[in-house]
Amino acid sequence: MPIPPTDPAADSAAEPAAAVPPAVAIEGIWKSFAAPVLRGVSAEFRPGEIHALLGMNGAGKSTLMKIIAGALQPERGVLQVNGQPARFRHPREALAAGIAMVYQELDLAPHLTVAANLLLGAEPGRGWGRLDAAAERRAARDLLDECGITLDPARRLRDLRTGQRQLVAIAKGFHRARRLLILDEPTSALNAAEVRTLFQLLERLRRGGLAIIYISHRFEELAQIAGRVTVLRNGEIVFSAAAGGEAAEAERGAAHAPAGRQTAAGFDWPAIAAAMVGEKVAVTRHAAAPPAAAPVRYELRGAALRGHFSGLDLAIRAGEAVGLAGIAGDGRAALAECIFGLRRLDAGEARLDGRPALARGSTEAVRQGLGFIPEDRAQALCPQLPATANATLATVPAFASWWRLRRRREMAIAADSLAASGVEDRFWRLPSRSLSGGTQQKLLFARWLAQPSRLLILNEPTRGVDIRARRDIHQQIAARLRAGAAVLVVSSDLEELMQLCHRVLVLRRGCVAQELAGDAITREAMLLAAAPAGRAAGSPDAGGQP
Amino acid sequence: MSHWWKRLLPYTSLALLFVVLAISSPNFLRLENLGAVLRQATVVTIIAVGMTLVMIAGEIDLSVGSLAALSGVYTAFALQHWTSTAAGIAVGIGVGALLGLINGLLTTRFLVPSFIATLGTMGIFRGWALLVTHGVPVTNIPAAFGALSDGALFGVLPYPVLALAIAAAVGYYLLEHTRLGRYCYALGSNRSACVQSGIPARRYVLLIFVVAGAFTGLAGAVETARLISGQPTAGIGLELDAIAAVVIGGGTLTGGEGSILGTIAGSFVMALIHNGTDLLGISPFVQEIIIGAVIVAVVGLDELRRLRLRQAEAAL
Repeated sequence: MPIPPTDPAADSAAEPAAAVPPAVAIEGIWKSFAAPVLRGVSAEFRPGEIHALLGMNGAGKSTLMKIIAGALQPERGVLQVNGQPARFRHPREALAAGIAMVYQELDLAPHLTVAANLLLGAEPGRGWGRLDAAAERRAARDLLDECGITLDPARRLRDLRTGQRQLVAIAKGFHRARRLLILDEPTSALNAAEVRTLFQLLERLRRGGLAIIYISHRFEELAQIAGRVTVLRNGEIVFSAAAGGEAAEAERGAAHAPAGRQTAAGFDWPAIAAAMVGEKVAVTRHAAAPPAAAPVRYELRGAALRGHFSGLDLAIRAGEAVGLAGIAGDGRAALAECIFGLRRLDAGEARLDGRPALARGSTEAVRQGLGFIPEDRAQALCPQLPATANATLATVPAFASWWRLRRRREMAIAADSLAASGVEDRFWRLPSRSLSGGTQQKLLFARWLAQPSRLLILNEPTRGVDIRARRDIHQQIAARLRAGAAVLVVSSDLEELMQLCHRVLVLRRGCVAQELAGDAITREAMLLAAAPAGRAAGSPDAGGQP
Repeated sequence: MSHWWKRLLPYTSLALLFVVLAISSPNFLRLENLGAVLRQATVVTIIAVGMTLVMIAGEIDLSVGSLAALSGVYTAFALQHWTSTAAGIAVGIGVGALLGLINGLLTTRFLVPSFIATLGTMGIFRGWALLVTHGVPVTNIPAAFGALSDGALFGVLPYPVLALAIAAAVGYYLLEHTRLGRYCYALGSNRSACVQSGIPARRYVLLIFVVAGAFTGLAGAVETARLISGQPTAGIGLELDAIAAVVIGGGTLTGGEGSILGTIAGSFVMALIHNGTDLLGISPFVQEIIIGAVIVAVVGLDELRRLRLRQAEAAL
């Protein structure tokens, strides 16, 4: 494995002196797939700076990061490493130039030890393919010491907690690339103590002269560690500012930061939220709110699941759509799964149309009249089965018994529900794997039309579908609401929540932070409620270390 | 369409093999020879029918060889006791279903992956069969039962072939025309999709093992008739032949695909290779090599096709 020739110690010694070239700079990056995704993006990532990158879904963050990490190539624009133009055709080349992206736990092997994971692919050998176990342990220990991580390198990864695994992943990335580390939502699965340890590690690496790109939407965390905040919207940079505030930050700011809107107290979070959201485009709200007299269809009281949420109350009336907003890792997906019986609540009770309805399994949930569409379509589709069989999967007993399967009856049910869900009939006999994402999603709506549901639970109902499919799906949901169903929408697409929902509960760290209704449901309100800029999590210990 | 081609592959292979053997060996087309091929293929084909259900559902059953032997032994015991052919067959099927229930329970309640669970029961059932027979074949069963093996319905349809035809028809009907069959395909295609559609997945997997056990039990009874005794050492290695039949017939180890007709064609392909190489005087050692090569070639071709399909889909 190539270890780039940067010497962190020399870098940090040189830091206060003359202007150091940025570790990585991009200029005028353009990239389009079907439509332009990045439109002339320029930015600098400096050694010894944690650069926070924010943006809504589809703003182009991940495309930009893939370009910097060498997984994608820009159509236009220049990438510079340490002042020199560079061109990466493969992530390997970016890695060789000292740039690494840390993927949560994806590239860790749970059965191997910490040492083996850290040095995977770069194991010290003794020739003829023999491993030098002692040298491996030594190298791993040195690396952990350098990062200030106290972990036994001989422990197996699967025995570690999520937070510890995250630290190992970052140390591994640091070991391979010592110029720029890209972290994508690294705290989404961590508790407060683990977040503090992570920040200490990042602060230490930063002081060592590493450039870090940190993607996150947790304003309170960014307030603690970010030296610069940049907001991407629709493929353009619409906001960029360096932090003032703390002494250590100010010193760095003086050394590197060009003109930026700086405030003494750190960052102007409302301005950042506004920049993420953009102009106030009028959003058409699809469904009229149900009359106040409409009966409560589904009610959840005191729901708790360890490590996810606690004391949650929720009530949805017939014909009402309630949204759950929040940021990754706040327990929304777990809540949806609990309601549908895929997971068991630790505490809480549920009622559907006044009758107790805490499902102990999905079979019971479906019998009670619940329907569920998961975040990941692939989890809910049988790829080899035709669209018709996928649409009728939840309602097989209606046409098939132990001794007979009535194909005509099935076709009638499938045809009705597929047609009503807007799936064209030329797709009906095709295996579901050959259908587009939008059609697959409509297929799942057809499933819960064939098997009528009184409460429909939707997790990211339009993720990864095109604009037309999205509109069709929203019309589907509106039709279900008119028919008197209750709908629970989990979505990180704030515009979608505005369009669909009569009420939105904003979750933060497993609690309802705010409830918004009607015209009060705005993107800014949801963003700020989900991630306030306060210092609730406590200031990082690392900040005070010399 | 390439989907089409794949579906026909087992049948075209079978037809091709048939024609080649008919041309190259004068004895091949004689009725006695074809009858012998059918009779020899009966036991493994009936087992393969049950295996088809299990493999389409994304599971596997390695215990079928031992399970058939144990059911065959109890069939022999039952015949000694009641001397009734019907009782013998019923006991064979019943014991098979019970043993299938054990496999199913291990897989769905104790959550042992079916590969491991049935690897274990493969040994357990074999030891059980040896234990209850003291390792000696169970003989002196009614001659009428043994005669079944050589006899034929109305003098044309050999009874073992009749048993195979019934098993195949029942398996086909179950798979294509009942709820169980639909869930077989769905469970093998995507287990989590079934759970999210409210299907009691574990209960159906259990049931599939029971049904497969019943088919294998019937095969055990047929084997007892063929050998005119309950052999505790019968059926060693049959599991691999049955799996090979399913795979040649278009099934996969990951589930969601396969069919009864394909499996039967796959089983006959192997039977014809055995018979053909015998007729042509090719060494039995070479037979093993040929059959192994056929399995690899068929699955390899299929994977290649899949790869092309994926690339074509990705290019869209």
